[in-house]
Amino acid sequence: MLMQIKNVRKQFNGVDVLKNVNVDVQKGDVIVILGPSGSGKTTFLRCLNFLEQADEGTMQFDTLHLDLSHTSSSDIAKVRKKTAFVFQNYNLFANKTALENVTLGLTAGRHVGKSEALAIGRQALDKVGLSDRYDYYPAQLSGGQQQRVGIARAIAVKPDVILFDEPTSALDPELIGEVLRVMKKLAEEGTTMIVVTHEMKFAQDVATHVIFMDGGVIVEEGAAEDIFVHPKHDRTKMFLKRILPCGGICEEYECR
Amino acid sequence: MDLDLDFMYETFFKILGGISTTLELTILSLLLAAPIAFYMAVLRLNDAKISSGAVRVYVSFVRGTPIILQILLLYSLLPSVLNTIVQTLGINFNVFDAIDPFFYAVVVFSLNTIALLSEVFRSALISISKGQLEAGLSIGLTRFQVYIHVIIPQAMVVALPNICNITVNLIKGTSLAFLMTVKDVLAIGKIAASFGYNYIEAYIDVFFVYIILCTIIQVLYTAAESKISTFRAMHV
Amino acid sequence: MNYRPFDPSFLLQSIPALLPYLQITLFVGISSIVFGSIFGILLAKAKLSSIGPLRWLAQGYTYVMRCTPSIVLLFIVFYGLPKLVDGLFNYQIDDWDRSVFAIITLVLLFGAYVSEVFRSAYLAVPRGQYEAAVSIGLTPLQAVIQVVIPQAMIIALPNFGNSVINLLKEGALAYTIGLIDLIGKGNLIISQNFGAYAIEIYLACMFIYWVMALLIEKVFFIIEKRLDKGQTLKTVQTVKQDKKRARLFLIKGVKFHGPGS
Repeated sequence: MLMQIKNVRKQFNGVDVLKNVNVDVQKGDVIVILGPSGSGKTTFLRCLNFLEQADEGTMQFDTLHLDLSHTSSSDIAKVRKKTAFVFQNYNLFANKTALENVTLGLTAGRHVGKSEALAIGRQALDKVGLSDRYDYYPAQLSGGQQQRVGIARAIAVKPDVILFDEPTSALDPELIGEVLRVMKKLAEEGTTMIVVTHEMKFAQDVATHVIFMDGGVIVEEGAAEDIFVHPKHDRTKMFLKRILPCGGICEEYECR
Repeated sequence: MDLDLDFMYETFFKILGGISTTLELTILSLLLAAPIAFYMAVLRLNDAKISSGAVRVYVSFVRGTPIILQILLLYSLLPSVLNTIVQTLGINFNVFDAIDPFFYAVVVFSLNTIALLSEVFRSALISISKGQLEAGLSIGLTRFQVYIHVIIPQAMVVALPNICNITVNLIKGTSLAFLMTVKDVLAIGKIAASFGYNYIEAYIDVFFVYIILCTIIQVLYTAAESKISTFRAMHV
Repeated sequence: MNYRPFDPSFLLQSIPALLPYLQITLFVGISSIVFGSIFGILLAKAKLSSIGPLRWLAQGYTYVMRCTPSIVLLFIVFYGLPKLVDGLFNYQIDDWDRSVFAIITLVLLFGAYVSEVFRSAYLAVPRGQYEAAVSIGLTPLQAVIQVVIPQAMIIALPNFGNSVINLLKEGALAYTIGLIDLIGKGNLIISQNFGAYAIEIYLACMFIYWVMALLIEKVFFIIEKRLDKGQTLKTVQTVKQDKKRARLFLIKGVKFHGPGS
């Protein structure tokens, strides 16, 4: 077991956003979290990287055992060094080039030597298909390219798990495919990933485990096929009906 | 109206000699004020109620009162305060003879600039998206590192035009240093003026010197701005 | 020199003696604001004009004023204007009240500052507002007066308020040419006491100025709230920006601890 998260609770201004969420992550898992907006899936993901602080909950990560509500800053630093986060709106450092964005986590965060960091950075950018954009600033890149830099920034630090927060939601439809292809490639290489997304085809093709959340709880989870083809819960069925063009079973639904 | 052009020509070069004092006063005040102002900006953004309230009152007071009164007050206050300190400590030191008024001027203009700069820093920091901090933290940088590598460089670009304004206003403001007997551009002009009652000629000289000074400052800032904002300038 | 402790009661006592002279300060300030605003409107019009030389003249004037210390301008006006008028019209104005020279100086400065405020506020109203007005049959002049300017005024208000506060503060320089205003009177009291009580008097003056600044700020804030019914561009933009970017410090949950923590 790589990561075991238990009993996560979180309130915002008195409203329960997460109520008792449990997730287990094995090495090599691709866990896709689905759910309507406001279901708490993004908050959950952010709690894992301490971008939000949970009110309750524990996390077992490798040898670390943490209380999510009272985590020391040194433990937070340890977890953050083993994880990486890909943001919905990319959050590339606006004052750094693509290559600098990718290498900063290495040179400043992990004290990797400059030349080694550059080599790793180039490799990461090559992997996401941006070998011709090393020296471009974020403002010079399209949304899809920016998000691929975001992914390269995440893989460059060689994390145990990468957290994706709706990585394609801010993109124009024609740019979504290039990002999903990169993510699929990572999954095939055995990268451990937790992905919050609305891309059903991606979930179907790539996920080893699908979680459906609604109202701050996990309503249903299981293999992709179970969730998509034989959903048990009414809330899951309704959600799938709304979001899938074919109203449920979706063999013809093409990856964009 | 007849202007004594010879006098104007001669005086102009005399006045140029005051530029170094004016610039020293400006630059020293800015450099002293900047770190304190930054710290104050951070305090304001913090949740700590007492310290951020104190900073708010300080900024409001400095911005709500004429600088000439700040000068008059501190120039009456500082020497006696220093003298009291020196005497309580039992040091044999004559504050009134030994301290150059330039020192008081630096204190006055620094205190004034701190308030103005802290507002500029604060609004610049607020303008940087929270995602920049989160992204830095998520790849394992410390908060301090994110500030050094990401947030401050971006905030500087936002703040620079305002810092330029503050500098120009500060240069103009230092013209009041003559009230503290500092020999800056205006003070030299004033002395020359009263010497031969050629007031208007001397002040027109002073006027030109300030226009030249401010123009140079603004050109420098514009150059600096285009240099550090390369990442914003280019778009697809 | 002789030292005595700071005397807060003298500070309070001196305020009634000073306040009558606030009238002079306010008279100079308000006259300068009125005439300066008119001058500023003319300058802004010139800057927006299609006639090149007029535009350059107005812009050049603003630039020069931006670079000139107020006290230098005050001295030039005070010493130079009588000479100029004497030379041109052979007329003596040396004995005019000193407040006139202060007002002239402040009008010259204030006009330049607010012309920028007016100009940018005018340009901040979207072109579509004018086009929509013309499209429903208003004349260009009507469109500007009834649609564009009311919106521009609201946009200009906060900066105009700032300029007013700054003008009052610059007005404090007038005592240097011998005007007996608030500070002038304060200095008289100080010299009557042979230099004592300077700190108390200056502090009293500062408090009076501070209260004025806070009041003006408050008044402009109230006017702005009254006039702004949510129709201005500014409000729309703020809402949009807030939604688009979660700001660094304003979001609950992640608290800001400052660098290093």
